[in-house]
Amino acid sequence: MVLKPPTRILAGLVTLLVLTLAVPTLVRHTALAQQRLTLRFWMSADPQLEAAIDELLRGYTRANPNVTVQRDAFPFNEYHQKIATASAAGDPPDVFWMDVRTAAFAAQGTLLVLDKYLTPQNKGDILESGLIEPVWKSHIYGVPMHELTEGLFVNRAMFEEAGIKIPQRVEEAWTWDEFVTNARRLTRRTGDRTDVWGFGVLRHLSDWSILPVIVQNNGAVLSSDMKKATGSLNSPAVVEAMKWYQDLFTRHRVIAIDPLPDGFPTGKIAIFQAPSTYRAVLDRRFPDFKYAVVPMFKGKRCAVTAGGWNVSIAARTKNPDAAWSLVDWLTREKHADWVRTSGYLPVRKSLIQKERQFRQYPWDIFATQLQNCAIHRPHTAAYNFFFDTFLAVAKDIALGRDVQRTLDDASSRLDVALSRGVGR
Amino acid sequence: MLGISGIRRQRYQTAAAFLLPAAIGIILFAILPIAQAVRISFFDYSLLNPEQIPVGLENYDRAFKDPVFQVALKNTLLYTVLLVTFQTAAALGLALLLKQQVRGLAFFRSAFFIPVVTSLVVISTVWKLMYNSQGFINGVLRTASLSPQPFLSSVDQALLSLVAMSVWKDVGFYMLIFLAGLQAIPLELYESAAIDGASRLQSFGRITLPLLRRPSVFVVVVGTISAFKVFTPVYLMTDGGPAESTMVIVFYIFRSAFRYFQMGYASAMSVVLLVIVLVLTLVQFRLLRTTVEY
Repeated sequence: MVLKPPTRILAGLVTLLVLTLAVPTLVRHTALAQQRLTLRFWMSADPQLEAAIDELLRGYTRANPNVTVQRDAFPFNEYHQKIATASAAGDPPDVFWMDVRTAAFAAQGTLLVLDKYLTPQNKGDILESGLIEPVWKSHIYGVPMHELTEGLFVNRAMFEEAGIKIPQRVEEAWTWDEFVTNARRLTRRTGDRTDVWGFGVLRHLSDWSILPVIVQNNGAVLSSDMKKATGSLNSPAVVEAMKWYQDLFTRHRVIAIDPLPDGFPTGKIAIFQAPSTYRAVLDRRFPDFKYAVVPMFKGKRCAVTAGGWNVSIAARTKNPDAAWSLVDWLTREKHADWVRTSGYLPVRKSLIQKERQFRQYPWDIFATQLQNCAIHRPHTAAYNFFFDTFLAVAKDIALGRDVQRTLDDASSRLDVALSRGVGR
Repeated sequence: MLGISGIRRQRYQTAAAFLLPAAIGIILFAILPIAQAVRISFFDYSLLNPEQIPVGLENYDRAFKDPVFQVALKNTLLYTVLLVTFQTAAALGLALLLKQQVRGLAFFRSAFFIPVVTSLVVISTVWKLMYNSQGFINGVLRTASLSPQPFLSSVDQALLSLVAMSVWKDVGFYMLIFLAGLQAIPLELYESAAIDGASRLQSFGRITLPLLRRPSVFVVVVGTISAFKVFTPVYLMTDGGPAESTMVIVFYIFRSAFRYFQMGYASAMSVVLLVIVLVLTLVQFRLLRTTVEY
């Protein structure tokens, strides 16, 4: 076939365009394939998750035989501190897990901007709720591994004995009053001693677990620009919500001040607020324990905290392209494998569409809440200060301290910290 | 043949050679870090960012205006006074008891010393469980028909609960110091006093206590420095709460540096702590100075 001159020119231009687009990628991949290099990867410690990650990393090094990945894991309480001190020493890991504290690290230039790596197609496949924590000032600094949200886990035997119906759809979520009534009915006491607490929380007194109560009452902890707490944290809506929460400890006495380790599967707690990953823990450690998952209680509106681990790259890495190939492997190519083994919720729309189980009970409770009721912890560079302040507030309120005064004091302190910013 | 000055020089050189390794260690790992902390205290410096902005005395000004630092200072002082008082009294009491020839003496000495060699992390975790509303101590109180106590959940009891645990942990060590001091007092002094008609209380007040002045200085000074540096129990048991009733200086410095990444501010507070401990130690040395020898 002989092409006419205009067609020939057009074909030539198309070929040139294809080559222009393809060559840099090919060159990059070829360069990556030829170089021998080592990537350091850090994550939060958890034996089950480490085993799951190791499986993915083995697959990655098989696909990229020139790359060695050194994985390290640190307990959550010291994890961010480890990254901070490694960064200060000029020797951060190349790739690492990062969470809501992305803002604090991004604000100081510790993280690599991933805008040029994350294609619109890749980004478009991620749930909107997964793209809040890794974004700071309109730039993306991490790609979500998964999503995480909470629900209520209930002891089936206790509910059957008390004749309480177990709701199985988000629309059937208990109101605050219904929840308190059930928790009170399930609480058992012998004199001063409480044998069964109606309610318990895995992330006891943390912002993660209490923020839904505040938002369900149409409250907010910080102003919309996240620069002020006064007027939000001590507003009437938050005070009312926190008084309701205080009553659970002091008036209704359905929840213990001190957390009870393994209190739920051992029959000391009847209703337990916990993340979706708690199912995997129960199934692994207490296979004979019978429980059900019910939606989070609701106030004036529904709300449940969402978040999770994102994978970020250090701004100082010497191998950004290789680091990105690892990030992409973990977050996109092997996303389905990770979700299956970790017990986390998928963050990719394509996977939710593909896998039927996420549209069935009990996964559908978490998935529906994620899409309709998800809220996030304050995405501010001063998050650690907010976290500590809120934890202290929650403890004081649970112990019976005056709610308005406690929230006023905390608001003043947060105002100072938020105006100063992180590290200043 | 070496002259006197030559012998002296050779002695100095030998001494210097022996002192050099320790001196290098102290300079590298104590003096230089302290100097660096003092320097950083005049800068606005985040742990995450190598950029350092000079701010003069601003970090010190901020510390003295910071209500949390003031609370931490007050709590640390209270903790130190309570701990040193109870610890010294308990250690002296136990040393006096164990100085007597009682049966099972070796067992009691070892038993009191076991907490000293046990990890503070382990002890803090165990005591936290014991202080729990459903824990061992409240179980004992309930059995004795007494009302359970909130301990670490109470603004009034949390700091005292930490003091009680710390006294229990370290009393064995200070007891040994006093015991060594007691055993070094010549028995003839007591015999002479007895011949002169002194009662046991008089002997204790006129002989034992004055001659225990040197071990007492050690116990009080080391106890004070150690109390000012309290961190682990607060970190593991109370997180500075409730209502900041157990917020102490070192814990606040740690938080500022490694959770809020404010290295400049944390360094300024560290320098303030260093000055306070230095002044207190000098005052204690001065007040407890003795000329009595035996």
